[in-house]
Amino acid sequence: MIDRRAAALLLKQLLYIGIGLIIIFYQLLPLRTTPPTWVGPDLLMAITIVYAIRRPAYIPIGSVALLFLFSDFILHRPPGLMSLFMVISCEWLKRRSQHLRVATFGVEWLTIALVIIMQAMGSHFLLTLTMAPPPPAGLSAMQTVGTILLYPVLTGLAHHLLGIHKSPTDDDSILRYRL
Amino acid sequence: MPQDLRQSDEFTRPLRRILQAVIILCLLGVFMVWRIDSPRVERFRSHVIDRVMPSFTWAMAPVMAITELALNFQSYQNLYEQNQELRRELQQMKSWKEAALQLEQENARLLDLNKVRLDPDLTRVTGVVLADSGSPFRQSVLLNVGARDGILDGWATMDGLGLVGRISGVGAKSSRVILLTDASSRIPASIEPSGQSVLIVGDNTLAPPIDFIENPELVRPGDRIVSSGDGKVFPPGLLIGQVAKDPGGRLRVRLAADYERLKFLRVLRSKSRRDVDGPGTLVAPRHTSGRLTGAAAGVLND
Repeated sequence: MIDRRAAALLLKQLLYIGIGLIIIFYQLLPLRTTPPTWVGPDLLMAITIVYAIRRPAYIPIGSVALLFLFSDFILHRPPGLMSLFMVISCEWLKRRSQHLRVATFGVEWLTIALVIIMQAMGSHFLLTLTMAPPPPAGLSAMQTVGTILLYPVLTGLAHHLLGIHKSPTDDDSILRYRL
Repeated sequence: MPQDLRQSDEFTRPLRRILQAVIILCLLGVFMVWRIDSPRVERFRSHVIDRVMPSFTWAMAPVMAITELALNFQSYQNLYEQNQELRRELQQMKSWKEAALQLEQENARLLDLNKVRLDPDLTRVTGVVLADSGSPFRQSVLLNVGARDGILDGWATMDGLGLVGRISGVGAKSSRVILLTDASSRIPASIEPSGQSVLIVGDNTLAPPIDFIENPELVRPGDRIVSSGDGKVFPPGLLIGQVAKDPGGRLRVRLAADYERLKFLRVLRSKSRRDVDGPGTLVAPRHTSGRLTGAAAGVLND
């Protein structure tokens, strides 16, 4: 019984890493080699935050750190920077995920919006502090706003299509708490 | 808060806190090491990419084909009209081809009269674009040629027509080309009829601005821009593009290379290149002639 549960958990943790690798792979396709005039949201970041609030058990700290460190290296970003901020904010959100579960969606959205904005500002600050050229402010602001706007879309999809509701079925104690 | 959950947490929480702290410090350490010893970390980065990317390529080809098919679906609808148009254009091209052949013969005769020798140092390696940078803030592509093909850091890369970028980061089987449009790209160039030395400063747009023009009055939109060979960054005389003026009155480069379709790129082998093998050599230039150091040699030695 316990073994089967552990195997299922491991499978779902691996699923997260698989989703992350597929997103990185798609970003690498040389479909557009001209500089963009607009920037879409950061899908990997949005999905990770959805996971951190909805299914914190499926993204252990190690897999977030490794996945984002890998993407930092392979997507030619400052290595360690985005993974640092993602690890901090994921751990912070995971610790609060039980409170956020009983909160309204507005509160949840505001929380993740603050987290994403803090991340953008933090990395900008750290890059300026270490005298590394930060990315163009307009584009990164566009990406931040896009990621915040993507969050309700992703949670909606997860809720209606995949049936991922706020209350996890595999954690009895929390279910009892809600009831 | 349920009591049992808190009790089970009590045991693992300190351990988890320590793990968190260790991972966060490690990531901060990676970032700081990158700031302190950038060439070494970048070399490690190209090593990682070199390991990972070739195993991605088998999956990339079909996905690329399907995505491009979907993107081009629109154009299949008016295939007939396109065909007719192409036939008409082909007729015109044939007459141009005749003119070109005559000019080529004339040019050969004139070169012979002048006893001109084209630079034999400029041989080239052709590579296929494997991937782009994957981030909207960085403009670079990854080629499938690397240190085993003799690629070295700093070599110029062109498509059929014009300069595309500069090799920066060489792995054994892959190398990265920083495009002229990247925000960190600075290329010394000269504007052709007036001969002024300028700097092409990438700023993440398709038309990089021209900086450090001494005499803007002498420059007119449409003038040719070629690499100047200053600072031994590139061999002189490679076509970059044409001068254009944006609505704000700023002079920019309309690049000759077709950035919409970067597929096959030529890497020009050149003898005169400047190594970046340490953090200090950029500020205070040093004579490094005859030495073959840098990222490529480092990878070969590994």
